[in-house]
Amino acid sequence: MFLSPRLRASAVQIFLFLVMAFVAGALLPQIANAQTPGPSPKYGLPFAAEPGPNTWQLGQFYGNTTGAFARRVEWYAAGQGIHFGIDFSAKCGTQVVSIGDGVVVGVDNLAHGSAPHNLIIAHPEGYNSLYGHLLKRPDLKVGDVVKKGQPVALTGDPDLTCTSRPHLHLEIRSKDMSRAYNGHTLIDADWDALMLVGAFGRGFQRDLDDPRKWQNLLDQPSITFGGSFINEFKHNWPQDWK
Amino acid sequence: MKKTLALRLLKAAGALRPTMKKTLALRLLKAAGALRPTMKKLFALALVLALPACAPKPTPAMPSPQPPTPTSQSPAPSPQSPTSAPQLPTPSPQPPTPTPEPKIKFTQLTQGGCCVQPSFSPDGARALYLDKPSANAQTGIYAVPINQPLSQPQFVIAHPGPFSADMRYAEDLIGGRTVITRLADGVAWVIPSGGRRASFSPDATRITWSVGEETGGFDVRKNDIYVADVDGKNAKLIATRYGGGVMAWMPDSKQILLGGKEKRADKLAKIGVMDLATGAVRPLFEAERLRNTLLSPDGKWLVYLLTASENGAGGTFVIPLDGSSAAPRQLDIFGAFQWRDGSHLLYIPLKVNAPSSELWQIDAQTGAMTQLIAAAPDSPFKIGGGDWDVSPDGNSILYLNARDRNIWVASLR
Repeated sequence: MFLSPRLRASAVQIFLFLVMAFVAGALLPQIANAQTPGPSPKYGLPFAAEPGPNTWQLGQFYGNTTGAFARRVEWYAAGQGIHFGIDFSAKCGTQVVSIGDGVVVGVDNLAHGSAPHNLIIAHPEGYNSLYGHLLKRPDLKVGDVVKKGQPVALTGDPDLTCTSRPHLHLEIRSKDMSRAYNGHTLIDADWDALMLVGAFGRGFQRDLDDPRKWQNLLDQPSITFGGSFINEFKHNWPQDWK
Repeated sequence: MKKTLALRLLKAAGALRPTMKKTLALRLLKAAGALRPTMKKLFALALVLALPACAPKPTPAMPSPQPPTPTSQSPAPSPQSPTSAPQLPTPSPQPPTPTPEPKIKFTQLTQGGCCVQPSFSPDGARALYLDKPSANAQTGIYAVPINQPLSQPQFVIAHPGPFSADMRYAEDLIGGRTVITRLADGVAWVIPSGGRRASFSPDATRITWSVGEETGGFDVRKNDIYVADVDGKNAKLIATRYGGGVMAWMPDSKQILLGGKEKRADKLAKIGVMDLATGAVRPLFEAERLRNTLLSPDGKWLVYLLTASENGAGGTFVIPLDGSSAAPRQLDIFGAFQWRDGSHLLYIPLKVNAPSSELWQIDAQTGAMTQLIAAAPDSPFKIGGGDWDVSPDGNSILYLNARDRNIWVASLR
């Protein structure tokens, strides 16, 4: 069959693209699992104890919470206006454990926030976990290897009083620390049970033009640090009360 | 264009998460960046064929809610007391008693993963929720009659709230000012709260709001508490508290439950009932790290959760507000609670990884506990997102079903 050089070249390109697409189809699950929150949670909770009135409670969820919207400028501007971590209420000095196997890559690196003390652990799956508002500088150094469930820090209070808002702020970030992911999709926990007690505020902020958007704990957006607000909807609810 | 085309095709390709779709599409398009338009379409077509392999593995099968009919009967509570069942330690522990023959019925009210934060209408006949059911529909409060499950949702009102309890008034923030609208005739007025949200009294004749400091520890921030008539007139500063404020209106609309430190240097918050006519406060108890306070519908009991602090242990407590000097009674429970009536609590224990939620009833006077719903793998009673609401008559629970993210109702009798 005669084909012009241009058509022959196009046919070759089509064939190559089909091959590429097939290969991509085979490889993409691995790519996706390595670089975005996958469907199977990998990590554990940051406490060894069960939740309770004398141990810890879920405080504020990850995502576009009503509380984060209310303080999007004051506290969460760096994270595009949403709560870019998970808060666990616990009295000062409560032992925190690593959510997974990893290597310490930051101790009191306050360029990444969560003063007065923080800890960053790199995990082999491509995520970093950040433990913030710690009571004191963790007794670890960069390069230390930690195991899942190993005690690594003590909870503190960002207001330095232990009576204002003592809690652990836990973030799951990209390896380069530029993005934060929804930890609820990466930590293996019964979140619906944990949500029964202790959450501050009620639910997630609504975009009245799309009120079903981001209303599920597991359906919250990842953010890029330094990006613009993603929750300044034209019609917000609850409203921006003073 | 690249992004749009790829996302459309990826959407058609399978059940990928939105973030995965974007990431994958952009990654592939970057690789195919130099393509001519016709080649891009072919490339995308090939992706449609290839991408089903990328779909996430199916999650372990959840117990099916209740196909094919949307109603079911409760799994019977275990005839034996669960070993981990809550017990009341004081003054005389009473073993939890399973109800012999529960008549609990579960009914699915909405479908398609709709919606969150349901609440009963004031008459208890409808489930209300905020929604926009379709792209062309109006956003607002929608309703499904409790006795017409899965029926077409009824549009109720465009205003999303907040409302007074009787839904006579709604509140708005307009131009930085708080506006109350009487819904019957649309008459609206500004109240002097300076853009702060006000709370309606139960009879909707009065409002209260707080003007607080915006810096400093949350447990010591100063709050000035105001009360006014619902029209905004006769506004009056009634109290100042540190790290606290109005916790609830009492049912008579003449008193408020007040909490917080009287002085900034105080160690503990004081909780008491203030008579708005005289300003006198009847003290109840002192506490730190007080959360989840809930007044009984008749105002005779208060239940609250204390979490552990530097100064003491945590727990769940009930205290009578009848004027007696009874001390708070600790309940050996940890979970979500709401009042069923003037003297009974409904309680859902926080049990991680349980097959479903349990429901218990607690007598505030005696502490006796009765299990109404037991956990079971095939139970449709798994509360999602902490969303549940008790009907005005105490006989039904609206809840977000964690299994299908739809709104269900559990009829308790």
